[in-house]
Amino acid sequence: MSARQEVEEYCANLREILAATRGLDRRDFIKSVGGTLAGWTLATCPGASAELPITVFGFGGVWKKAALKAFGEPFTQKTGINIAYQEPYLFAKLLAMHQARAMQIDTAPVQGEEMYQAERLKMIMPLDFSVIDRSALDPRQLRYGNAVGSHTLSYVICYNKKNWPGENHPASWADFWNVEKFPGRRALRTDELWTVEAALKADGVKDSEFYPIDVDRVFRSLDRIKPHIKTWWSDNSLSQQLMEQEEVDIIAMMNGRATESIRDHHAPFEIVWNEAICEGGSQGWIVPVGCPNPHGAMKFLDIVGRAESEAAFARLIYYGPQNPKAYDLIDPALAKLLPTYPANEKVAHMVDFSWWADNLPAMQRRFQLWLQS
Amino acid sequence: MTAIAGHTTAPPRMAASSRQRIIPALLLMPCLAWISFFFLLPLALMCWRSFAAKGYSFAAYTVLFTSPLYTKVMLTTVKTASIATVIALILAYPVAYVLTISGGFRRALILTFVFIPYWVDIIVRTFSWLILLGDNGLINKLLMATGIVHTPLELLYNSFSVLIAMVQILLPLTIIILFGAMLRIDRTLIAAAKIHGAGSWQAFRTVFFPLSLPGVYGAGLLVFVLSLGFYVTPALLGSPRQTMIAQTIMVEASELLDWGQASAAGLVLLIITTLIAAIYNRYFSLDRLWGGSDA
Amino acid sequence: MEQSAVRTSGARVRLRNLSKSYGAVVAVDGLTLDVPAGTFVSLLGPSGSGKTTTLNLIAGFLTPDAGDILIDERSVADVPPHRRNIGMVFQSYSLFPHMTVADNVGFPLRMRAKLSRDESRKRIAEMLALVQLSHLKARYPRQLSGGQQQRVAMARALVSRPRLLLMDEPLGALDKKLREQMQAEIRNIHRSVGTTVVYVTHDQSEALTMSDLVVVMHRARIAQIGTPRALYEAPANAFVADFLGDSNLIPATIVKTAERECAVRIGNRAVIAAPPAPFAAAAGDRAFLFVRPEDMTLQPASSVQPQDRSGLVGTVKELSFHGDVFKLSIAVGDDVLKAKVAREQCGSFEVGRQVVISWTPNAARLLPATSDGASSSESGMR
Ligand SMILES: Nc1ncnc2c1ncn2[C@@H]1O[C@H](COP(=O)(O)OP(=O)(O)OP(=O)(O)O)[C@@H](O)[C@H]1O
Ligand SMILES: [Mg+2]
Repeated sequence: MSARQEVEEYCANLREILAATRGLDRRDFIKSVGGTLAGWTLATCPGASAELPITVFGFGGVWKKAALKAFGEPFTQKTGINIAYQEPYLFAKLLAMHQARAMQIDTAPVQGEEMYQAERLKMIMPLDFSVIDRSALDPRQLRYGNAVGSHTLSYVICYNKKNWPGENHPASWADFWNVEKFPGRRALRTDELWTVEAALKADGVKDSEFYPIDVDRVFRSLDRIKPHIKTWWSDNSLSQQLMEQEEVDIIAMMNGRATESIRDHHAPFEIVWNEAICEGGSQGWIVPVGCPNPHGAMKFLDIVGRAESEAAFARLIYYGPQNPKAYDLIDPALAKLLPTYPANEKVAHMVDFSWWADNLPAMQRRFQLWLQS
Repeated sequence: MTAIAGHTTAPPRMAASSRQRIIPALLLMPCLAWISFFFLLPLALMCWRSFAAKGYSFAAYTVLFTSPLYTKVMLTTVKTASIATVIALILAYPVAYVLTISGGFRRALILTFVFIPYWVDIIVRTFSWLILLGDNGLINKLLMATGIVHTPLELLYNSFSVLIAMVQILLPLTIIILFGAMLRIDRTLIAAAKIHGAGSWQAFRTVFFPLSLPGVYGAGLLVFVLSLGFYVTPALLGSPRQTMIAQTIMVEASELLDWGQASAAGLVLLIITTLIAAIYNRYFSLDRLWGGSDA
Repeated sequence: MEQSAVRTSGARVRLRNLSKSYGAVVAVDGLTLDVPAGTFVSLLGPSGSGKTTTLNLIAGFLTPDAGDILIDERSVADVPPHRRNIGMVFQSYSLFPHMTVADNVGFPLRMRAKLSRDESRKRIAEMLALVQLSHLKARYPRQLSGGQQQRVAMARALVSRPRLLLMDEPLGALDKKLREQMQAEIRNIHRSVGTTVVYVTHDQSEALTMSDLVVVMHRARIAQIGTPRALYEAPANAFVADFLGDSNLIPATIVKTAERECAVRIGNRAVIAAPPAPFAAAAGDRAFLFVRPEDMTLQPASSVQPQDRSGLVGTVKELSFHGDVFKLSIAVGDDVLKAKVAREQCGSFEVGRQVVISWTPNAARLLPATSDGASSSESGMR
């Protein structure tokens, strides 16, 4: 069996599972994937064990579990290439390895302004389309040229349905800022990028006039909301905790975590998709220059971008697939909770990371000083 | 000088004595190599980077000392670390004392309880504070159920929550250091105090306590230096106002990729720590306090 | 002069059937002892014989398992150490390292007697004068020599004029010269203050020179109580005989007992006259014949006619010089006897020579062979 056929078979299989478990929750999906994988044997792939392993550099926790389930395990089963997982992903580490000419990572999901940095520093290997099946990918997934776009996330407003059960609930950043109309305990992220974007939206800046960012205007807007923020969260699981324990009434957080808390842990919150601060497909898997196993890494990239893998990943972590074909495999009820769902994408605000790539350090310092005083 | 004299008058002895000096030096080599490789080399690299990254200048240090952000973070760090250290010492002291005067089984039991939290991951421990101290947390629920308060107390995201969690993390170590120091106090001194008229409390106050002070100072120094580096706790349990230097260094290094700035901040922190240790040693050393001849 | 200022009357101390065990180890076993007021009594015994335990029981650091302690006829069972009004000198002095000499000495005054500041200063000065340390009162213990620390410990123990002073091997850490000097000083101080002293030592010569009364302890029990001289001259059993000074303990079999004299056989050789046994004995019993080496008379065999040889005949095995005396080891059959001769007599005894050994009947004693001390390996080779 050729490698191509292997992947085809894997995709077909995954499609079946996705269809069979459509509408069921995450746990059932994981069980089905596991059950099917157990049936596959390495015998279909002779000489597999001789292959070098690849080192995947990713985030920890739920993200790691999702990545291993959706891409890692099927990849190893079909190619016989073992995966060594390193966590947590930190672009700084990747950069350090690159500068020390000691790259130990074969592939990593690079995002946002990091992609621009990586490009500038020539850290990324060109994609090998003799291994990666271009036809399985959406052109938008290849917007950066050398990365395979995988998923997208958004910074969204979530409000407690107990406080605002009816139609009159916070529905925009202006509402988040409007403490008279929507009183309640609020939480924002300590990370400058998301909060700065939100502050400008709250101040009514149109998307067409958004960049370059008017920094003074940002801080004027931030000054207005600051006294009303009960807590600034710095860690994703902390944001979930705040929501699940109902420690706040309105919180801005990453959509995947919010969905997990709402769907799987029954937090009484609702996501506002209007003006979601969206990454807009800036995440992509890359193969860094000088890595130990580029060929194995390319094989991995051939799998991650496919509709089936993306759908599986979305089922597990609720981030939006960049491959629109994935939506054919996702239950519409879940699809509506993903940032790239057409209706959500239409009302979202897209971040321009090229501006941030140049302005991040200065903004960060100013923001932190503002935040800490 | 003696070596030169030895060389001219009695070469064989000179050979023997130089061998005597070489062998210990050789035995030290692995240790020195280890220290150089894992400690001195990275340190030197850090030092070099703090200058080199900004075009061989003091630019990084200028930022450090002129930026209001760093000044503020540094002050917060020192303040938080000092308070945490003092609280940890006060809480650890009685436990260490009880450990010292208990025998076999009771000692083992207390030690087990002291160390149980050590087996739990620091992040998990920090998160359990969130559950305990939140608006809907155990403590507030209890207070409201019993009618002591009507609106939840603000127990989280302030210096209170940061300190309580830091102290909890620091306690086992503090207890162990104090216990170690107290074990070294000669117990017959207590007997001597008692037979010469001191009751238990007086014996403690006049003999045990003063003799335990050097241990308290030593533990205080170590715990303080450790607290300077706290990162997870203030990030999760504090407000941005409680930001400590380690968080700022982490942001410089991992988000802003400004390793020069991070190195400079790290080095300054190291120098401050070393200075504190030196001052400490100068003024709180046992020898100086009680009439050492090396004063 | 200042003697009257520091003088107190000593306490009478009585131990009644005192016992203490550590788990399975019996440290003190049914001890009964009466220490008259003002007496200097030594507890003497080999390591592990229970001396420190006894002292700690008197001090109150340990609670007895059984028995009672009476100080001045009052039981102190319920009195904690700090209320027993005892002074104590520890083996390692246990001076408070964080206090000056004056503060160390003044400690019991601060804890005990609520004296005016002037009064305590006067008392401290008196005490320091008594131990001749007035010039060092501002020093810390670590700045003192061993002998000076020892004296500070004495001063601290005595400053509140306790009626009982306990000392646990207080000179153990000093060299021989200093020890002897301190022994004399302690005696002097005892004489001037008049307190009762219970003094623990495992050094027999120290006990003999210093004490009014010596209590020899052996395996948690009292082996004998007596004045130093009585113990030396009339040990009650082989252990005491052996533990105090040099001695010959010759295994013997009683041949005949009589009121004023009895006869014993040594090995299967001579039958010798001995004083009557101080214990119940019958012909055929085994016993030890005890003679101090200095009580032996030696004559070269060549100078004595065989028919005049009333004593034992042996061969000189070893000869060692000890300044004032020579010590000889003499093989008699399977036994080796010890003898001491004055320096000027020694010329006639060389290694290998045959000698005749004799002693006056009064110099010998019969001791029971069953004494548990006789077989003790730790004391057998003295
Ligand atoms: N704390 C203790 N726990 C257990 N056994 C002990 C303890 N203290 C003493 N002993 C035992 O009790 C016995 C008597 O001890 P003690 O210290 O009274 O002897 P000592 O006569 O003072 O000996 P030394 O001359 O060595 O000081 C010894 O067998 C000793 O091992
Ligand atoms: Mg002892």
